[in-house]
Amino acid sequence: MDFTLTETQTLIRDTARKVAREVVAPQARAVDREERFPKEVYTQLGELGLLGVNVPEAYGGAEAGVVSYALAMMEISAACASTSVGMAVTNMAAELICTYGTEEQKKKHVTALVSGRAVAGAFALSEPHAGSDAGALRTSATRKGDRWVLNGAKQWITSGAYAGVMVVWARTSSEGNKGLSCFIVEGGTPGLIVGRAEDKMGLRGSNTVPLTFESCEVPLENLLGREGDGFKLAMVALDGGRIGISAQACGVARAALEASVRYAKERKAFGQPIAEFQGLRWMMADMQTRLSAAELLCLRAAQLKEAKRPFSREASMAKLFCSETSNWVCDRAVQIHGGYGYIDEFPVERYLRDARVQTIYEGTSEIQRLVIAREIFKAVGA
Amino acid sequence: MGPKADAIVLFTMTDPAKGNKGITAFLVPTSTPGFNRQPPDKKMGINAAWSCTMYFEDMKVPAKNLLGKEGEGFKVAMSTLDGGRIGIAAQAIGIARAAFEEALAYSGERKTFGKPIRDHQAIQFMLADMATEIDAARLLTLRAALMKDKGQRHSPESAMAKLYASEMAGRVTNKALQIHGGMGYSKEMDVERHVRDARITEIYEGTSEIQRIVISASLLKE
Ligand SMILES: Cc1cc2nc3c(=O)[nH]c(=O)nc-3n(C[C@H](O)[C@H](O)[C@H](O)COP(=O)(O)OP(=O)(O)OC[C@H]3O[C@@H](n4cnc5c(N)ncnc54)[C@H](O)[C@@H]3O)c2cc1C
Repeated sequence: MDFTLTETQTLIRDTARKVAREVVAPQARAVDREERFPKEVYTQLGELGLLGVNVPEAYGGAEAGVVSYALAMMEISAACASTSVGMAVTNMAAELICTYGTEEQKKKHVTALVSGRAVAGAFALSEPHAGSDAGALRTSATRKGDRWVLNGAKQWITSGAYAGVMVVWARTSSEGNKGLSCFIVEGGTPGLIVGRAEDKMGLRGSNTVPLTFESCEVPLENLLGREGDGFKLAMVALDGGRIGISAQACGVARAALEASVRYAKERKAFGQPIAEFQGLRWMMADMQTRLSAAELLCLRAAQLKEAKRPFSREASMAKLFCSETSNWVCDRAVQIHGGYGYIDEFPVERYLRDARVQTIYEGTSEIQRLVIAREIFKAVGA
Repeated sequence: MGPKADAIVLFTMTDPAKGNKGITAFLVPTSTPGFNRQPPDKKMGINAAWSCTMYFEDMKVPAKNLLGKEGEGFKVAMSTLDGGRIGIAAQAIGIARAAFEEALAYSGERKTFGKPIRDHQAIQFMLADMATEIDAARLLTLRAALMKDKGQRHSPESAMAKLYASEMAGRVTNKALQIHGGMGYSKEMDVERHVRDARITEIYEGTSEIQRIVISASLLKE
C-alpha cells in the first residue's frame, strides 16, 4: 500500500491545517466551556471546500477523494472535536444525497450543504428506543396526496437546531428493515420541532438535540433513493461515516500526544524533566505506536472506499481501533500531565472528554465487533 | 478545599541543602497577612471539592505553629499519605461500585435486537470483568487497612491498593458508561460523572507512577 500523498491530498491537508491553527484551535476552549456552537466556522469551512471534500465540483465540492477527507478531518479534529463532528455529519449528508439523489436534489441540497449556506447538515437516524438497533425505529412517513407526512421522535441529532438540510429515516411500511425510507427535510419545516440540547460530558460545542415530527409535511420529491431502500442507505452512509470518526479519533489523539511531549520536556520532578523517566518515555512510545497504527487503518479504509472497493470490514476495524486508541492515548495524556491534566488550563482533559463518545456514536465498539466478526465468517462461508 | 479553608497544613523547604530532611510543616490560618489564593480551578470532575493555587508573600507564622519538628515535614507528609492512600483506594472502589450498579440495572431495562442488552454476551462479559476487578481492589484495600489497624508497616500494601483500585475505577466506570450507550454521555445520567470523578484517583495522593516507584523500591530492597 502506498500512502504517499498526492498533490491534491497535500493541498487539502495543508488548507485544513491552516484554518485549524488560525481559526478553530484558538476558540476551542471557549467553544467547550460556553457550549457555543461554532456557526461562523462552518461558513469558512464551506468556502475552503471542507464541507464537501469528496463531493464533485459540479455541486460545489472539492472533489478531492476520501483520503483527502480523512486527512482534513484529522486536522480539524486535532484543533476542536466539537467543530469536526459537525463537519463530518455535513460531509456525510452531502455525499449521501450525491450518491442517491436526483439531479434536482443534488442541485438544491448538496450545493446548500457544501457551500455552508445550510450552516450544517444533520443525519437523523437514532431514536429514543433505537440506537444500535436502527432497524427498530418507529418514526413514520405516510403519503398524503403530493406530500409525505412524518410523525415520530429522533434523539441525539448532531447540529439538529442549526442544520438547514437533514436526512431523516422513517418507516414507510411495517416490514422490518425493508420498511425504512430516507427523506430530505429542510430546517424550519413546519411540524419539525427541535427539543432542548443535551448537556454532555464532552463535545460541548456540538449541538445534540432531540427532534419531534408532528405531521411534518415534505414534498414527494424529497424521498431520497427508493421507497424501502432506507436501511441500505443508512448502512452505506455509516460505513463512510466511520472513516470520518476514525479520522476524528486520530486527530484528537495526535493533539493529546503532542501536548504530552511538550509538557514532559518542560515539567521537572526529582531534579529532571519528567521526559527523562523511563516509565513516561515508554508510555509515549506506546502512544505513538498505537496512534500510527490507527492512522494507517483509517487511511487504508479511506483508500479502499476511494477505489470503490468493498470497505465495510476495514471501516469497522478502523472505527473500533481508532476510537479505543484515542481514548487510551488521551487518558495517558492526562496522566502525564498529573494534576494539571485534570484542570481546564491545559487541553488534555477536554481531549479525553471529547474522545469518550467516539466508542459510542456511528456504531458502538460492540457493534463494530459484530460487523467485523460477521465479515470474517462470511469470508470462510460460515 | 483550598478556596474555602480557614486553616491549612503548609509544607515548606526550610533547608534546601538537606533535600527531604529540609522540609518543615506548619499550621497556617488563612487569615494570616501574606496568604493569597487564586480562584478555584476548573476541573474535569470532583467539582464539589474545590482546589486552587496558593501563594505566600512575606507571610509571618509564629513558631508555635510548627507541626512536628523542624526538618520532619517529609515524614509528616508521608505518614499521612500512606493512610491517605487507603482512603483514596476506598473512594475509587465506591465510585466504581456505584457505576457498576447503575450499569447492571440499565442493562436489564435497555433493549436492542429484541432483548435486554444484558442478554448479549458482550455486555455479560463486561459485567463479569467489572465485578471481578471491584472485588480484587476491595480485598487489596482491606488488607492494607487491617495492617494499618494492627500498627504494621503498610507502605507497599497501601500503594498497591491505591494503584490497582484507582486504575480499576477508570476501567470499570468507562465500561459502565459504554453499557449506557449514548445515554452514558449525557449528564442526565450519573455515569459520566463517575468517569470524571474516578479519573483524579489515579493522580492525587501520589500518581500511579509514584505508587509503582514505592512498590518496586520495596521489592528491590528485600
Ligand atoms: C454526542 C452524540 C451525538 C450523536 N449524533 C447522532 C446523529 O447525528 N445522528 C444519529 O442518528 N445518531 C446520533 N447519535 C446516536 C448514536 O449513534 C447512538 O448513541 C449509538 O448508535 C448507540 O445507540 P444507543 O445510545 O441507543 O445505545 P444502545 O443501542 O442502547 O446500546 C447500549 C449498549 O448495549 C450494547 N449493545 C447493543 N446491542 C448489542 C449487541 N447486539 N451485542 C452486544 N452489545 C450490544 C451497545 O454497544 C452499548 O454498549 C449520537 C450520540 C451521541 C452521544
